[in-house]
Formats: sequence, C-alpha cells, structure tokens
Amino acid sequence: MQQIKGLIFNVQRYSIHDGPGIRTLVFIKGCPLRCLWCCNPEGQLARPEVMYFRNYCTRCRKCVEVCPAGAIKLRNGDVVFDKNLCNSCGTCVEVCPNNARKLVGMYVTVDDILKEVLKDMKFYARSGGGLTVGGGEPFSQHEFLKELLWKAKEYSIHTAVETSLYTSTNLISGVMKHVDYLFVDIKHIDPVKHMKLTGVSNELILNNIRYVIEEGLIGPKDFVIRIPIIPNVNDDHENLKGISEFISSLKYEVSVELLPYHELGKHKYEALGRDYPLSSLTSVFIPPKEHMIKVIEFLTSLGVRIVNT
Amino acid sequence: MNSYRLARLVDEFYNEIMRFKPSLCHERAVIFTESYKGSEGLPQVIRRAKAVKEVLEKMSIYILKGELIVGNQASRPRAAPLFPEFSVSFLINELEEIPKRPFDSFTVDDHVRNAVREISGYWLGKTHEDRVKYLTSLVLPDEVLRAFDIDSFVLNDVIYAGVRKSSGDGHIIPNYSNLLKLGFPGILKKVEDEISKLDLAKSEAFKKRLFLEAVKIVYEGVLNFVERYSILAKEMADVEYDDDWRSELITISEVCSSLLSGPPKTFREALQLIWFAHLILQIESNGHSVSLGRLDQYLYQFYKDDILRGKISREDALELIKCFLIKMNTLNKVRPWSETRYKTGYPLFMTITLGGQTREGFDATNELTYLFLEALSEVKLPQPTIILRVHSRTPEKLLIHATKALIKHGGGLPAFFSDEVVIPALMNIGIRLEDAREYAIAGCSEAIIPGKSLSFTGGDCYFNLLKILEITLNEGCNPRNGLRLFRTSKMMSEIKSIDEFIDEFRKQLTFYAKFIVPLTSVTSAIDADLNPTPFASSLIDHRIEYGADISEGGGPNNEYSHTIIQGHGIANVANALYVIEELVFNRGLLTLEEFRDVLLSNWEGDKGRELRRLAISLPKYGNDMDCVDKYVTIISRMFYDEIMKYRPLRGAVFGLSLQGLTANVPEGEVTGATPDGRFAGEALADNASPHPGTDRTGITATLKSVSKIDHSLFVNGNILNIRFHPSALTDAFGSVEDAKLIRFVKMLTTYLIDLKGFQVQFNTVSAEILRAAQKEPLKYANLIVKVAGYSAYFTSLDKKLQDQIIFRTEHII
Repeated sequence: MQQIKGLIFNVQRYSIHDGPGIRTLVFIKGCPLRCLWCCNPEGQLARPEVMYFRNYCTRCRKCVEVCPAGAIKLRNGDVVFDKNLCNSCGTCVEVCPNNARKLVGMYVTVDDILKEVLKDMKFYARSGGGLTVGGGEPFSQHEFLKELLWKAKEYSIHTAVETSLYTSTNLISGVMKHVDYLFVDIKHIDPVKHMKLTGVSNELILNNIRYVIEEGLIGPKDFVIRIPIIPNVNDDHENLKGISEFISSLKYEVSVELLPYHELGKHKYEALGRDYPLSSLTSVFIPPKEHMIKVIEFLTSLGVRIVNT
Repeated sequence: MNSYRLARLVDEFYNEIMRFKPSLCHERAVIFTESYKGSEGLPQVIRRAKAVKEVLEKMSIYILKGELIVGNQASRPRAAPLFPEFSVSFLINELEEIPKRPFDSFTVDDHVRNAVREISGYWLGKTHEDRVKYLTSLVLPDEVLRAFDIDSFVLNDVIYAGVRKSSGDGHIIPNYSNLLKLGFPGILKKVEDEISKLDLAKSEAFKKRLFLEAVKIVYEGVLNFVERYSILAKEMADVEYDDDWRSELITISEVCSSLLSGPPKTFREALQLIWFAHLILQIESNGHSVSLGRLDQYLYQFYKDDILRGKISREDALELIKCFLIKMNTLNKVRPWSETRYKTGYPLFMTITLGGQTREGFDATNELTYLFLEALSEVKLPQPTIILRVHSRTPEKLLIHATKALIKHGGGLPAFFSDEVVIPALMNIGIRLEDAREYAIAGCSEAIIPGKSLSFTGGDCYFNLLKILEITLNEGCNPRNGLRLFRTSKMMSEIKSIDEFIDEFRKQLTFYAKFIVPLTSVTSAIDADLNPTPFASSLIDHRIEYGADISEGGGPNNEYSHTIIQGHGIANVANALYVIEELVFNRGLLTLEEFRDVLLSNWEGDKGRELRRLAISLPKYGNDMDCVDKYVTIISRMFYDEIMKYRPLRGAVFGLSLQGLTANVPEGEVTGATPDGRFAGEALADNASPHPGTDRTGITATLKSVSKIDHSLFVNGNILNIRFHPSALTDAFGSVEDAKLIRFVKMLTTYLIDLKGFQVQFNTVSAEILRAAQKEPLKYANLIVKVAGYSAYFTSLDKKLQDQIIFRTEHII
C-alpha cells in the first residue's frame, strides 16, 4: 500500500525543549498563521522553497547557468534570485559549491520519519523522551500527522505535539488519541490584535483549547500553554491579564511556559527573500532576564503557574 | 583549623605559581651525572638507585608561601628537570631553539645552558637514545631502514614509535592503598625483612639481593628528602611573621616528621605522603602518565576518621585537595621537538580516577568523590586530568554534581569513562573480574590496575591508518618519498569492488603491523638494561617479594601490563572508503587510478574541485548512517585482529587504543590528499571523533556512530571529543538550567551504559571565545580546553591544533 507523504523541513535529534526528556523533533512545513516574530519562516509555506544565503555565495554563476526556470540572474556582477519564477526544482542547490543555496521542504513517508525517530530509542528510554511534532503547524497536514503519531505509538514512543490549534475542531480528537503531551500557544487574548499580529483571529484557538480540556483529550500534567513574550508587542499587563483570566476559566489548572522573544531566525527571512516583519517595529527588543522576571512575577501574582519544561 | 585562613593561603600559593613561566632546570642532571661518574662499573640498578638518592639529598628544595602540601620537582615551579640518561643529543641540538618554539617553549638561563654543555660530554654514546638507534638499525632490515627516520623514529610515515628520548617508561599507578598502610618506613622494613630472609643457596637470590639493595638505597634518599622538608619548614617557621603561615609551617614540619617514623595518621599526612611518592616517581624516571589512581577510595578512611575525631572540617579537606591539585601544575617535562608535536600543551598525563565500583561490584561513590570534583571546579587548572568512572548504579546526584563541575571548570574536566565497557575490555585481555573493577586511568584513556599493572613496557606505537590507505591507493608506494616497501597484490586497475580494495588495505596493514614487535622490544629491552626504576617498583605489588625491577617483567601479574598501540585517523579512513565505494564502484564516475591521480594533484583543476565537492557532500561518519559507519566497525576490528597476532617482549599483550594525543596534526602533514575530501597536509580527525564539522545530525547521532566501534576491544581506550556551545547547558541568560543538566546526564549515561561507549569528554567553550583567544592570547591566557586525553591552555597550543579544535562541530541545542 502506498503511504501518504507529508511535507517536512527538518528532523532534529537531541531536542531538549520540546517535551519531557531527550526528543526527536519533526518540523511540519506549512502554517496558516503569519506571526510577525516567527523564527521558522521557512516552515510557513506548504511547498518546498529554495533559500539563498548571500554571505556564502562567491558569485560563481553556476546556479545562473543551470536554473531551468530562469529564476537566477546576474545583474551588475551580483546574483539576483526571483522567488516568483523559482519552481523549487533544486538544480541550483545541487551545483552550488559553497552551500549558499538550500532546498527546504521534502516529501517523506511516515516510515521515512520513523526510521530516523527510532534511532534514538535508547536515549528516549533513559530520559523519558520521545517524538515531538512541531512546525509550521502540524495540523495543517492532519492526516499525515495522525498516521505518524499512530505509528509512533505502535512502537511505544512517547508523543508530543506543538500546535497553534488553529484547525477545525472536528479534526482534533482523531489526532489527540495518539498524543501524550501537548503544547499550545496563546499569542494574544484580543481577537483584533491577534489578527494583526498573526494574520488570523484567536477565537477558534481559544475554543479549541477549551475543547481539548473539556473533552478530556489531554490531562493537566501533559498540557502546557506557551506564551511568547514579545516586548512592547504582547507583554502589556492588559494582555497578560486577559490571558490569565482565560486560563483560570479553564476546567483544570494548566501550566504556562514563557518563551522570550529572540532573533535567531532573522537571517532566514533574508535567505527567503523576505523582509523581517518586526524590523519596522523599533520598540521591540530581546528581553533581558530582569524583564522576564517581572513578567513572571506579574503572571504569578494573577495565579498563573509558570513552569520551565 | 580555620578554613577561611587556609583558603587565603591556598589562594596566595595559586597566584604565586601562576607567575612562573616554564623553564629548564639543570640540577637533577648535574647531580645525576656526578653520581654516574663515581659509580662506573657497578651494576646498573645500583647506579640508578645511588644517583636518584643523591638527587633527593642534594637538589634544592623550597616551600612557597601558602602551600599546605610540600615537595618540589625542580629549582622553581613549572621548571622541567633534565634526564641526560635518556638523551643529550636533543638537548644540545635544540637548546637554542627551545626558548623560541612557537608552542611548548621553555626559558633557558645561561647557567643551565652551560651546565648542559658540561655534562653532555659524559653521556655521548651512553644514553637510551644511542642504544635505541643502535638496536633499531640492527634489527630492522636494510630496505625497511631506508624508510625509517631514525631521528624522529617514524617508519615510512606510517608508524611513529614512541621510543622516548626524554623519559622513562611511566604509565604506572602505584598501590597507594598499601603505601598509606605502611608508609615509607614500612616499605623499607619490608625490604630489609626480605633481605634477611634470602636463601643465598638459591641462584636467583643473587639478582634479588641487588634489586633489594637498590630499593634500600633509594629509600635512604627518600627519607632524607622528607626530613629536609621537615627541617626547612621548622626553620622558616622560626622567622615567619605572618601568624597563619607560621602555624601552617609548624604543621608541615610535624606532618613530614611523622612520615619519617611510620604510616600516615591523618588525611593531611596521607595526602602529603602520596604527593612525595608521586614527586619522587617523576624525579626518578620522568615517565609519562604517572597517575594517581582512585584517590577518593584510598583516602576516604583517613577523611572519615579525621571528621569523626573532629580533626578536620569538610572545608579544610577541600583546601588541602585544592592545594594538591595546584601542586600538580608545578611539575613539568621537556621533550624533543619531534615528540612535542605529538603532545602539545605541556602535558604530563597525570590522571586521578574517581567513583566507579568496589572490588565487590558495589557503587564506590563517597564524600571525597564529591570533594575532589568540587576542588577541581574551583582551581580551574589543566592538570591533573580528573576522570569519573560511571556505571549503571552511579548516583544521578553525582553525575549532576560532576556536570556542574565540568561547566564551572570550563576546560573539559572531568572526563567520563564507562565501567560497563572498561571492565569487559580488561577481562578480554585476561584480567580477573575483581581486579578489573579496581581499574584506574593512566594518562589519557589507558585502563590499568593500580599497583598491579607493571607499567607499559616498550614505549608505544602509533599507526597512521589514513597513510596506509594512501599507500594502498598508490599500490604500496609512499608518494612522499617514492619508496615502495610492499607492493599491493593487485594493480588498482584490477580492483573491481570496494571489498577487494579493503583487502589490499588489510594486506598493507598486515605488512606494517609486524614491526610493532621489534620497535617496542627495542625500548623494552633497553629499559631493563639501562633504566631500572627501583622506587617505582617498590610501589607495585609483589615486586619486593619477587625481587626484580618492573622493567624486567616477570613475577605475579606480569600479564597485567599491556603495551599501547594506537590507531589514528579511523574517521577519515571510513569516510574515504565510503567515497570510493560510492563514486568509483556504485556510480562509476571514475576509476581508482583516476581518483589516485586527482589526489596526487591535491584536487587540482575543475575536475578535482568538482570531485572534491561530491566527496564532501556524501554522508560522513558521525551522523548515525550505517552506509559509512560500517567502515569504522570493519577497520577497527581489522586493526585489533592484526595487532593481536603479536606479543610484546615483556608484557602480556598489546593493548589497543584509538586515542591520538595531538598526533593528528603532524600525521596529517605527511599524508597527501585523501578520498574523504581532505587536502594534502590537513590534520586528521582527532581520536575516535568524527572529522571536525562533519557530524551535523546532532549529538545523539554522533554518539550512535561512535558506538558502532566495539570499544571493549580497545583496552587503552577511545577518546571522543564533543564540543558544546555553553548555551547547551544554560538558559537564555547564561545560568545553569537544571532541566538541561538532567537531559545532559541522561544523554551521557545512554552513551556510556546503553551504547557501551568507552569515554566521552566535553568542551564547553564557544567558537567565538576560541577565536577571540587566538586574536588576543594574553587576555585569554587562562583559557583551558580539553585537547586529547588531557587538558591544556588553549593559547599554548599549535595554531593548527587550535584551528582544529575550533572546527570541531559545536552542538547547539
């Protein structure tokens, strides 16, 4: 039987921030959200893409010569890459002698992934780790996601999913049957602002969070809500208060983890030929420790349980 | 005692030591030579004993302010004494160069220079080196001698024979348990008892008498040496104004004086006794890797008794241990330049082993295991190497404590060894289970039984396995000198599969392997003839009863010594074989001959560049991919099979190792371009580690790949260098994060216990800092890195080696 294929953009072993123990993290490509601070922009589009790292390029023109779509041109001695013409065939990546070009996104079967995941079974066993599916948005390929998790459970691998839960509610329970641990983000409590910051409203997300809890699809010990802390974007008291009110209205007490804003993904925007969305926002900054402590203290004073997973 | 007061003194001592630059000291050489001049005609073992005794009686001694443990090796800290009995030619030839060396340099004062010139006349033609040259030329066939560099002792760029021009056998761990029980006077008494028991009617009694006499002579010197410190401390106390220091000097005097009359009674006396013994071993023969064994085990009873009797506090003990560790860094060793290249960073390879199991197989962790780790993390010095033995029942608390010490020390210590591998490896060469459980590490990763293994015998031999691959591709010819010692049985054009190529590789290996027997025998025989070590012998079980120096071998436990043979470049060989398999035999892109020509041109031209790009893009060892990893399995096993066909002159077996010190740099220099994508002259991968920068699938993949070598075949160990970005263990703000630490520990135990990895060590300095240190060496003078099996100051290393350490894949999580 032919297996369905999924589109992923990375498999990362020894991941230690994405659930209990030592884990292998599978990145699903494709996401309905466009968060301004997204650090994995190559995970957003649901098709393979070519990234171009200008600082490795020696302008040797090999890629210009081979590109069948004519997407790469030499202008005034410089390489110009027209993403719109690119059909992601990867020919230029093959010939580049300096690894300045990288194809992100590969179609793989569940078995392909499991082969990689199974390699670290000994590490999972000792540390209580397993497989985490993140992205992108795992639910954007929910059939593939479901099969991957189901098969992982056949091998008794502990499973975790990192999702925005921006997905049809009726798809959730089928997937959650095979999920041992769940991370969901709340990026903003105000639907209008959420729309502005991520491109979608948060109503579906908040409803789905309530849904997984009330349907008993995940237990309190295995559920973490994450809040990215983006200074001057979503760390105002009003928003934090709103989020904490929502959390305390849930059926059980959920642990909350804070993710301080960072700019480690900034260079990837350039490689994708895109502008860094937050670059126009000059008031944003990488929060120092004292800043995070203040946020933690404020949320704790509102009764939120902050954890460090 | 007030431990704050002690801490101040130890700090003062530390600062004092750091002021001294490495230098040469002529005192030992001069006294030793004078003694030899006066003992011509006497038996060699007696001559050496007398000479060592006279050195101990006449060399200058000093006590630096703040040192709680006393005893010096040379006329000032970090000065290297000279051992003319091994070689004077290197001293004469290199005397002017030694201060100008780009790394591992020593200052040479005028009076030292003059003294060396004065004594060298006596030694010309009589040294260990002279004898090695004579014997080697005698035993090697002429056609092989043509390819043998007699000055650096390298056979056709393939085998480096560690015949040691500057030092004795070393690689020994005394039975310190026994020494602590008897003390120096107790051992001397044992010798005297043995002499009185001798039955002169038996023929072997004659030789035995000589050896026992030698031990007796050395011990007179030893006791005199200890007494001199007792007197010196007392004299210094009489004129000291600093009250704290004066009271310490009085204690020092009492401690030394107590050691003259019997075994140690306190923790401090025990530590002082071990220091004296360790020091005298260094003075006696300058051996490499003279190690200390399981100090947490030997010293625990003293510590416990002192604590119970209220004689010492935990903090006092910590300061004493710190002082002991600082003292290790006052010792030094000078080697010929050709040897220095293989061992850069002033290493003495002195190792302390902690943790592990008892003889009965129970967990051996105690309070001192923790204290030694704590002391290590506080003194932050490159020596000694401290290693932790890990087994399936090692407490997690200890592993977390050790990881915190690793981060705080910052220079790759402690390293971690697996009992689950080392014990079977020792049993594989015939060591009994209970003895195997008592193992400790000597040097980098050599597992030996303290008090039982009789040093190494015969120096060591390093195999450049990648060079053998290059020679195979050239049908037996070494392109660097055009010599063909052994032609391949097939021309490259006749080879039709990778298996046939590997078969030719094996035949070349077989050809070279047999030379380990003459090359190590030469050194072994000369050691027994010229360099007996009666003091070292007195600290090894049964030698007094058996009545023969360890250099002669024989007696109980003779089978416990294993001569080290190292295999280097295994990562490159595996990668190269896979590239050949894929490009030549699977894809048919070019023939073996064409490939060889591209390599001889050092990847020149468009074709060369394109081919190199392809070679680099193929999977490499270190990414948990069986297609290439299978070759480390095959080659490591082949190396074992080929070497284990032979037996060394004196010891039981050859003991294999995949560790490589810093040999990967000079060995790379003599190896042309290789199919793995390496340019001619580039360094090889270090030890058993993947080639720098080629392991890109994460730490677990690296560990899985390395575990595909059967580590229990390599009793002298494998070394795996892993470089972590500091953020891998800290949170976004630089503080140590417990959740990360626990996962780190789990990763570690999975490798050592489940995957059966021999050893692993970690550097946690970021590439940015290492680069900054290259630019501003003065600012980073104290930056320590784990080099091979030892740590050293980063800025003191060969630039090529620095680069290689920077290129090691940095795992960021």
